Amino acid sequence: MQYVLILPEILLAGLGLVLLGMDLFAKSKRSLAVAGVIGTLATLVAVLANFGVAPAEIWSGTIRVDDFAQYFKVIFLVILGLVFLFSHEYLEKRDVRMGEFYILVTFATLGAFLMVSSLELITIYLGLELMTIASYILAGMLRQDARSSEASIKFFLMGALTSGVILYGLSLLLGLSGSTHLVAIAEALATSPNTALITAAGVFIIAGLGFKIAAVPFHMWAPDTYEGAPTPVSAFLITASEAAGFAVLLRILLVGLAPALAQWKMVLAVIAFVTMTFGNVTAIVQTRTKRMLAYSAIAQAGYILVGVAVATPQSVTAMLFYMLAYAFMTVGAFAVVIMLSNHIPSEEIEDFKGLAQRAPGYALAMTLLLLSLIGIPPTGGFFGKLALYRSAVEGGMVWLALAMVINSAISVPYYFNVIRNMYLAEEAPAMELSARTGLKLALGIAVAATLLLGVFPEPLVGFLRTIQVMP
Amino acid sequence: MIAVLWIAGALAVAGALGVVIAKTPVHSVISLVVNILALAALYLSLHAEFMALIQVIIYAGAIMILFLFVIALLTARKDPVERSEGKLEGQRELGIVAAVTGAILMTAVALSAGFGRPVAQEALPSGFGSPAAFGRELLTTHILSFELTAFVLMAAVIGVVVLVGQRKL
Amino acid sequence: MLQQYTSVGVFLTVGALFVAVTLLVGRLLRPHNPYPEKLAPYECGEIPVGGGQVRFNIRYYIFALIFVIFDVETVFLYPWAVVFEEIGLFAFVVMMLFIGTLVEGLVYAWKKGALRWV
Repeated sequence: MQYVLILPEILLAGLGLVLLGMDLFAKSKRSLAVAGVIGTLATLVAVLANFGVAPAEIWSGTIRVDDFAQYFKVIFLVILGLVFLFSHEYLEKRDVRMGEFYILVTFATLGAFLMVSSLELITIYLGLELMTIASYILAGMLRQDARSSEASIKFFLMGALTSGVILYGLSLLLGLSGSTHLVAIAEALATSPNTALITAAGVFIIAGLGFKIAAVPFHMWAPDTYEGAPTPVSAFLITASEAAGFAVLLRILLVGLAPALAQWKMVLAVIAFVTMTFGNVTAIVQTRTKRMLAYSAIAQAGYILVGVAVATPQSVTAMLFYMLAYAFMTVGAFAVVIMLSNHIPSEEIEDFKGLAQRAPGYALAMTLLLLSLIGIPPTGGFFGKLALYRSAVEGGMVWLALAMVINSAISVPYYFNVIRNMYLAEEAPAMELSARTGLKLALGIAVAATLLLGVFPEPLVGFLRTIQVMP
Repeated sequence: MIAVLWIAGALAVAGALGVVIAKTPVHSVISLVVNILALAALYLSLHAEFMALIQVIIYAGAIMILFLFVIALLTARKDPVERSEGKLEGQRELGIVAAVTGAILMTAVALSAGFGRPVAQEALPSGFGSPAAFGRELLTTHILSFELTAFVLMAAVIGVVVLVGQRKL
Repeated sequence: MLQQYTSVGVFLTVGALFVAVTLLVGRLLRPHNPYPEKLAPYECGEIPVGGGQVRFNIRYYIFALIFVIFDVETVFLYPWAVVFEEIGLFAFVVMMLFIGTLVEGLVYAWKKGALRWV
C-alpha cells in the first residue's frame, strides 16, 4: 500500500535515473525530451490515481499523502511537462548541455514533490535542498553567458544563506517541541510558555521562505536570477519553485505554527502589499522581456501571498486555484518568449514589434496570456484574482483587497506595452518565425487551460473546497 | 559540562570572527577549522556523538581541503589580497549594526526562554547520538530522506560536471 | 558522554601546547642571524628555481569536488555498517539503492570525462 502511495515519487526518481542513463548512451538528445514527456505523463497518472484516497501518513510519518499534496504535484507535473515540451530548440541554439538540463529539472521537481508531501521537517528540508541545489546549477547552465553565471552565483549565495535561516527556524521549533512533525509541534506550541522563542522561529521561517518565494524585502536576488538564467529555467523557477515555497509556507503556518498564526497575519499582509506594489511599479520601467516578467512574477507572488495572509479556507482555495492558473499563463508566456528568442536573441520587449503581422497565432496567444496575468476575463487569472479578492474582503482585510485592485490597474501599462508592440508597431522586421511541434503544443495547452479555467472554473473550485491543509 | 560549553562556544565565536577579520585567506581557513572543531565539541556536549564525528571528517577534513585548493588556485601569493572597497557605502557599518541588533534580540529571546536556568533533564535513551542510533534512525524512520540524499549528491555530481567541467565534450 | 572524550581533549590540548612550547623555547634559545641563503626554500641542496608558491592546476579542483561528494557518501556507510546485523536484508537493499544511485553518478562523471587528466 505505501508503495502505491509514493508511486509518483518512485516514478519521477526513476525518470531522473533513466534520463541520466539515456544521456550517456543515446545518440539523439531529442529522445530525452520524449522520454521526459512520457515519464511526466506516467507520473501524472499515478498522482491522479491517488486523488481522493483518505489522507495517510506513511513511512513512519515522514510522508503525508493527501489531496493538498496531490494537487501541488499536478501543478509541478504540468510545469515539468511543458518545460520538456518547449525547451529543446532553445537549448540547442544556446549550446546548453541538454541531458543535464532535463535530468536536473526532473530532480528539482522530485524535490518539490517531497516538499509538499510531508509534514515532517527533515523531509521538507531535504526536498527543499534537492530542489534548490538543482536550481542553482540550472540557472548557470549558459556557460558562455556571464549573466547566467551571475544568476547562478547570486541565487546560490542567497539560497545557501536562506536555507541556513530556515534551518535555524526549524531547529527552534524542534527545540521547543522535541519533535520534527508539524502536528506534534503544533500541540507542543499550544501549551508552550516560550512565546518569544516561538516568535523568533516564526521570524526565521517566514523570512527564509520569503526569500524562496521572492517576497519583498527578500527579493533582491530574483530579478537578476530570473533574467540571467536560461529562459526555460526562469519559467520553471518562477512557477514550480515558487509554488513549492508557498505550499511549505502554508503547511508550516497553518499546521505547525497554527497556535501563533494570529500574530503573523498582519505581517504577512504587509509583506503581500509591499511585494505586489514593488513588483508592479518596478516592472513598468523595464525594457527587457525577462526582467519585466521577473518583476511581474514578484508582483504575482504578492497576490498569492494575500491568500496566506488572510488564512481562511476560502483564501486557501483561492490561492490553490490561482497557482494552477498562474502556472499555465506564466509558462505559456515564456513559451512565446522562447519562440521569439530562438530567432532574436536580444530578448528586448521591442522584439515583439509587429508580431501580430508575422505570426498572428503567437500574438493572439500572448495577448490572452497577458490578459490573464493582468486579470481580465474570460481567463483563469481573472477568476483566481477575483477569488483571492473576495476571500480578502470576507476575511476582514478590505484594505488588502483594495490594494489588489489598485495593483492590477498599475500592472496594466507594462503588460499592455507588450500587446501594443505586437499590434500597433508600424515597421516590423521581416523574419520567418517558426517553432517546433513541442513548443506549439506547450503553448496550445497553456492557452487552452488558461481559457478553460476562466470559463469553467466551477468544477475545479468545487474540488478545491474539499482540500484540507490541516490534517 | 558547562565549562565545555563556554570554552567551546567562545572558541567557535573567536574562530568565526577570525574568518572574517584575517588578512590572508589561509589564516581565514585555519580560523574556520578552529570554529569547526569547537562546534564538534559543542555537539559532543549535546550527546550528538556521530554529528561531532561527521563534523570533523567532512568539514574539517574534506571541505577545508577544498577551501585550501581554491586558495592555492586563486591567490597563491605572499602578499595579502587587496581588498577593494565595496561599492555600497556604509555596507560595513550597516552590517555591524545588523549583527549587533540581531545578537541583542537573540540574547533577549534566549533569556526570556530561561537560558541558563537549570532544567529537569530527561534520561536519554542509551546510545543516544551514537553511530548505531543514527543508523537505526536512518534505516527505519528516515529511509526516504536517506534515499533522497543520494539524489542530492547526484545533483551535486552533475553540478560539478556542468559548471566546472570542460565546456565541450 | 563527554567524560569518555576527556582523553581526546587532553591529547588535543597537550599536542597544541607541545608545539607552542617547543617553538617558544627554540625561539628563546637560538641565535638570530638570517641571511638570504638561509631564508631560501630548501630543495635538496639545489638552488631553488622560481617561487615556492605556485598556482595549482585547475584540474585538481574537479577531483577535489568529486572527492567531497563521495566522502559524504562514505559517511553514510559507517552508521549503516554498525546496525547492519540488527536490521538485516532490508538495510542491505536500502543501502544498495543508495549506492546504486551514486554509482550511476560516478559512471556519469567518468563518461563525461570529469575524471580524465588532460
